[in-house]
Amino acid sequence: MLIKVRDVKKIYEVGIQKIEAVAGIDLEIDRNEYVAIMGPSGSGKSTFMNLLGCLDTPSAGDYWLNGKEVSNLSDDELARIRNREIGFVFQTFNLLPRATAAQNVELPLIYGGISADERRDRAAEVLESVGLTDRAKHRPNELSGGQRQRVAIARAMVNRPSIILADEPTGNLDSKTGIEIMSLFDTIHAAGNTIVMVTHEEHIADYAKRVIRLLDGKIEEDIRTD
Amino acid sequence: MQIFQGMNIALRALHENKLRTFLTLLGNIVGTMSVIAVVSLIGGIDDYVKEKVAGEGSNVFTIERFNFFEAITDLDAFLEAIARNPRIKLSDVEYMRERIPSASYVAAAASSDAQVSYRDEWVDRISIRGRSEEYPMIEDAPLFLGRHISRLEDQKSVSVAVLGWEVYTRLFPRGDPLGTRIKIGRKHFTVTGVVEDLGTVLGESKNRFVYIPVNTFLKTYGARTSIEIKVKAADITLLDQAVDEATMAMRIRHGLRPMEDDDFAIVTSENLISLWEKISTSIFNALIFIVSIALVVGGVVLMNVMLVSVTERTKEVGLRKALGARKANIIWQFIVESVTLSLIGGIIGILTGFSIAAIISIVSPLPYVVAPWSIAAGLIVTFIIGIVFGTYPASKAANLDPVVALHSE
Ligand SMILES: Nc1ncnc2c1ncn2[C@@H]1O[C@H](COP(=O)(O)OP(=O)(O)OP(=O)(O)O)[C@@H](O)[C@H]1O
Ligand SMILES: [Mg+2]
Repeated sequence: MLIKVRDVKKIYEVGIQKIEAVAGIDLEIDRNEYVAIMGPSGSGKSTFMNLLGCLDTPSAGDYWLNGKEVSNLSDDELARIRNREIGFVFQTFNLLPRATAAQNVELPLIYGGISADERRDRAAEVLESVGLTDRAKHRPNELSGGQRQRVAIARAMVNRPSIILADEPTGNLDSKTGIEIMSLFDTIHAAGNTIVMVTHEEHIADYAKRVIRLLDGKIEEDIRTD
Repeated sequence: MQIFQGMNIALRALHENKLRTFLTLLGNIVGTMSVIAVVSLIGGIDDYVKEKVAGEGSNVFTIERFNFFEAITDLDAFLEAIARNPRIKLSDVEYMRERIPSASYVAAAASSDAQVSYRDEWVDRISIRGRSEEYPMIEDAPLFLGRHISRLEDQKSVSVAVLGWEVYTRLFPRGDPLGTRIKIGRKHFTVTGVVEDLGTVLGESKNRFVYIPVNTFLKTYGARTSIEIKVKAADITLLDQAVDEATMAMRIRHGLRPMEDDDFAIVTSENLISLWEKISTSIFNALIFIVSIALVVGGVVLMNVMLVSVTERTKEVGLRKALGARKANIIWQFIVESVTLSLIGGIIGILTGFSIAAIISIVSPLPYVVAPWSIAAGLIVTFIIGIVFGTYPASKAANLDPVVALHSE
C-alpha cells in the first residue's frame, strides 16, 4: 500500500470554537492509482491534501506513506519526505517569478542535494516530457497559463516522487487548457505514477479512476470508475 | 549554488531599488566610512608626529610656559596653567644655563609667523625663529652659505637673519644673498647665512623658516612674549637626569614649595609622543562609540528591510518548504541576502572613507595612510552585522508554517 490513513483528524481551534476540518478519515491508496477528491466548499479537501502531502500533521490518527509512519515527524524530516516522495501541483502554479522555467523545475533537486550537472539534465528531461523544451529559458510572465501549469507539473515530476498531489490544477485555466492539462496527467498516470487530485468539476473528475467525495471532513462516497 | 542565489537576490534588490538599498545601508556606510577615514588620517598623523619629533633629536627637551597638548587632554589643567604659570623670560634662560649640569646646551627660543620679502619677491607664513647662539648645536641647521648668528649679534640685538632653503630660493632665484637686506614684516634684516635644503616630511616643507637673534625677536615682537628654553642633554642616557635638574631649578627659580605643582611644562619628545597617543586613543574611543551607534542603527534598519523582504516573499518561502527546503536552507537563503547587503554597505563605506581621507590630505597638510587592518575590520564588522541582524528575519521565515505561507497573498 502506498498510502494508508487510519482515523485521521485535523482540528482547528479558533477562539473557543473547534473546527473539525478533517473529522476521521480511513483511506488506502495503492501505487499507480488515479484518485479525484470532490466535495462542497469547506468539506476539508485541501486540509486532507495538506495532510497527505506532509505539509501539515494530523491532530489525531496515523498516516503511513510508503510503509513509513509520518504522522509524528519533525519539520525537517517532513521536509525531506516532501522532497523525495511528493510532487505538488497548485491551482495558482506557484512558480518563482524571477526564475526561468528550467530554474523553477530544478528547485526541488537543489533541496535534494543533487549536483548541478544532473539537475540540468533532469530538468531538461522533464521539460521535454511536458513539451516545453523550447520554453526552458522563459520566465513565468512570458508563458501562458497552461504552459505555466506544465512547468509546475514538470517541477512536481522532477524528483520522481511516489505520489503527485494536485489541488484544483485546472481551477485557474480555461476549459480547453484544462483538458490539455488533464491529458498530460493521463500520460503521467499511464507511465506508472500515482495521482491524487482535488477538483470541483465532474468532467475533470471523470479523468480519474477513483472518486472520493468528502462531506464535513468525512468520506461520504468512494467509488472506482474503471 | 545557494550562496550565489542569495547574493543574486540581494544584488537584484539593490539594482531594482537603489535609493531604498542606499538608505538601508546608510548606517553601515557611515559607520565604515568614518572608521576608515579617521583611522587613515590618525595613522598618517601618527607617522608625522613620530617623524617630526624624532627629527628634533630625542635628547632635546623644552621648558615651556604651558603644554598646548594639555588643551586637548586636560582642558581644566590647561586653563589653570594659563592663569597661573608665569611667563618664561630671557633672564630665566641665563639662570638655567648654570644649573643643569647634565646639559650640554641651554638655549632661548621664540617663534612667530611673518611675511619675508626682498624687493618684489615675497614669501608668506614663514616661521620666524628667535634663537640664542646655541641653536646650531641643538637643531638640525647645517649651513649652505655664510655663517650662523653670533653671540655678540644676539647680545646687541642686531638685525641679522639666517634663511631657510625655501626662503632663499624664492627670494634669491639667482645671486648671492649674503649681506643683502631683506624685510621680515616691515623690519630690515641683513642676511648672514643660508641653511641647506632640509627636504620635506610627509609633504610638508622643512625649509620655511628664518633664524634671527632672540633679543632682536623680542624687540620686534614685544618683550612680553613668553619664550621657550631648549635644553640638550649631554647624552641620551642623561636625559632623565637633565629633566630632573631642570625641574628642580625651575621650581627654585619660581619659589615653589614642595607641595605645590609645577608652574611650567617640560616637553620631551617621549612625552610628546605619549601625549599624541593619549589624544589619538581618545579620538579612537569617541570614534568607536559613534561608529557603534551608526552600525547598530544600520543593523536595525537592515533587519527591518529583511523583515519586509520576508513578508513580501512569504508565499515563496511556503513554496520552497513544500518542495523540500529545510529550516537551515531558508535561514541560509536570507542570511546570505542580508550579509551581501551589509557587505555592500561596508564596501561602499570603505571606498568613500578612503576618498574622504584622500581629499582631506590633498586640501590640508594632513597625511594619510591605508591601514590594511581597517579594511579587514570594516568587512568583518559589516559581515557580522549582516549575520546578527539577518538572523531574526531569517529564522522568522524558516519557522513559517508551510500551509499558511503557501496561502498568503
Ligand atoms: N488554518 C485554519 N484555521 C481554522 N480553520 C480552518 C483553517 N484551514 C481550514 N479551516 C477550515 O476547515 C474547513 C475545511 O477547509 P478546506 O480548505 O479544507 O476546505 P476545501 O474543501 O478545500 O474547500 P474549497 O473547495 O473551498 O477549497 C473549513 O471550514 C475551513 O474554514
Ligand atoms: Mg480547497
